[in-house]
Amino acid sequence: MTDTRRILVIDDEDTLRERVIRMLQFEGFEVQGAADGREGVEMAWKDPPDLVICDLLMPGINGFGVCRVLRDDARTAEVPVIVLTALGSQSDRERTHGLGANAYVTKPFRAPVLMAAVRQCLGLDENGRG
Amino acid sequence: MNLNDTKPQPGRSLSLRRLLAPVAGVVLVAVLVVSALVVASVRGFDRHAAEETEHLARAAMRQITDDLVRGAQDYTWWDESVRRVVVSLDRAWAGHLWGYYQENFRGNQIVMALAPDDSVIMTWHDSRAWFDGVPVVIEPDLDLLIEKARAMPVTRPDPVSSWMLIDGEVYAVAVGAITPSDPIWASAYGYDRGVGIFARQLAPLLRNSVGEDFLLDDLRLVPPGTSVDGDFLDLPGPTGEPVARLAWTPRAEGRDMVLSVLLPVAAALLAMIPLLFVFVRQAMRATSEDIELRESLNREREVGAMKSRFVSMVSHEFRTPLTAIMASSELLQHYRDRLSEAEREEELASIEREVDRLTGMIDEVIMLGQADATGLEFKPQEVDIGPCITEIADRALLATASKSNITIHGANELGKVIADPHLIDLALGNVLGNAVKYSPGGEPVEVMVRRSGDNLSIEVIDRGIGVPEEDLPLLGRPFHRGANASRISGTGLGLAIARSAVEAHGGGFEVESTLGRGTKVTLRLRLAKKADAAT
Repeated sequence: MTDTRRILVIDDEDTLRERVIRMLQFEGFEVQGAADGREGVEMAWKDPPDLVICDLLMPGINGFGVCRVLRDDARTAEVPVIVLTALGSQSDRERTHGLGANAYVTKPFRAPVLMAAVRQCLGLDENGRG
Repeated sequence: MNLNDTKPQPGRSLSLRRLLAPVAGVVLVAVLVVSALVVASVRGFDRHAAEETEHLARAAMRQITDDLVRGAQDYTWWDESVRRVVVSLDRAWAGHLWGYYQENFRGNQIVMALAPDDSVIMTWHDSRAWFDGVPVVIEPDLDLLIEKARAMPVTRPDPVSSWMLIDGEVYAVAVGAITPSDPIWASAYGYDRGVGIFARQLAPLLRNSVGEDFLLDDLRLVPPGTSVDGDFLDLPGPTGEPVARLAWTPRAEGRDMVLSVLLPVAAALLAMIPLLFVFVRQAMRATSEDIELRESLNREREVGAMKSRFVSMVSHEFRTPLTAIMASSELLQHYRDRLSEAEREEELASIEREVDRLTGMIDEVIMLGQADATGLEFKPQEVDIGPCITEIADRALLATASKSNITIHGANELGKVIADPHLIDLALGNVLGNAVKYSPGGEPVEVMVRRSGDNLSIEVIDRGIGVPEEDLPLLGRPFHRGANASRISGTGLGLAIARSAVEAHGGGFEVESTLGRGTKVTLRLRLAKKADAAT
């Protein structure tokens, strides 16, 4: 990789967020974490990342709101979003898709599945090259 | 058999006829009186049915309105006190962003958000119409509602509620102001105040809540002023003028039953008055069966609500530890070489912790199942109450990895009492577990133990997050959790188990709480006179 891609992970479950961050760091990404939707949106607006990974069920602004707010702001309108959630119904998928989410990974998740979605959203090949 | 007995006896026959004449007269009068009474009771039954129906309909509509008002309160963003109301309605995530509604809330609602210029920012009828797209006809009445909402104080609006016609259907409507201002919201949408309108179509809701009741038949909503055959209730709109008429016919089964039985009974009465008593007894039995049926319906509804709380709890509370376990396992599987030895150990320990958490939750479900099925057994024995309570406190701290200190007053002084240590453990263990779990800052917890005659009271006082007022009456119901508890893992079973345990111990519990300041739970146990022989 010529430059390190930056990923923002928004999840209110501390232990899970930290583990996702570790996995992504091991894959060579620069990763930041936010504990709720509001903090995530503020971080994304301040310094737009290359990718957002976002939980849906969170207090405050939830994942649906994050998708909506990121899409509606010029600074983050083009940032791809992966929804990482325990909600698995088709209607939830459709809803997040309608709000501009690029990929949907359900919890509990397998690392390779999440990494494949990350690479796809960032336009990288299996070796992490864009 | 003596054949002589079968010979005709004219004299006897005559005397019988003489005897029967006044009896027949009495029977006839009795039949008339009884018929009049039966007819009166039929009318009474009808009147009772009508009153009952109206009572049920009014109660259901009040419930619907209350729910809607709470729904409208969702639209006051960032307000913790609002979110807790919503969560207490089992819409666990509803308050978080313009309503994430669970399946059973979909399909039957219209939600609109209006900007200050009254333009519709977003509307949706169901899950696929989030945020935009669905046109909604705004009736003139809405303006009035909006005006009322506007007049509300910015910080804590009290939503108004009413009935109104939208697209020709009657909706229960509640309106709340969207406040307070939020920089992200304002920046994203260019305004910081609006009006949230929460509306639900009335007819299906009513049918669901009261329509299947035995007393109701043909429940329908008709335009106001429509002449109806039966009873009705006018629903006033925001201006006080009726917007619709809720009409119903008390179910005719009761009347049909009585009328169809009345004539044969009247005929039979001429020959046999006791049949009347059979009939009366049957009618009484029918009434008591009706009451039983209604009670059973209520029980069914409560079970349904509990099932829904259970599913909601399992889907969230079980998935969280499972996801954490999977994340640790994936780290170990795919990034083992990158982890230090200490990190690997930590991942394994985390898996163990999460498995313990899951096991604990499953144990709670099983325990409650047992308590429900067979009740908890009371096995009194001599208990040294001081060490018993200290041990329970130590375990509660260990299980929750809490930083809180638990101070116990008055237990050691009591010495030995006759009680059931297992039930005390179940009750106090759960209450103390809650006390430390919901004191996330490690605030101190105090336990006060007192004895008065045969009664032992154990007060657990914490300075934790407290319980929202709305949730207090519901504590101890299986799977019910305080709305402000959503960020702390739990099944909503701890207090239900504690309640079963103290009840098995001949006592009960009381909860006093102030949101944000703490909770006091008092467990009352009746001490036994002597220990079980077996123990």
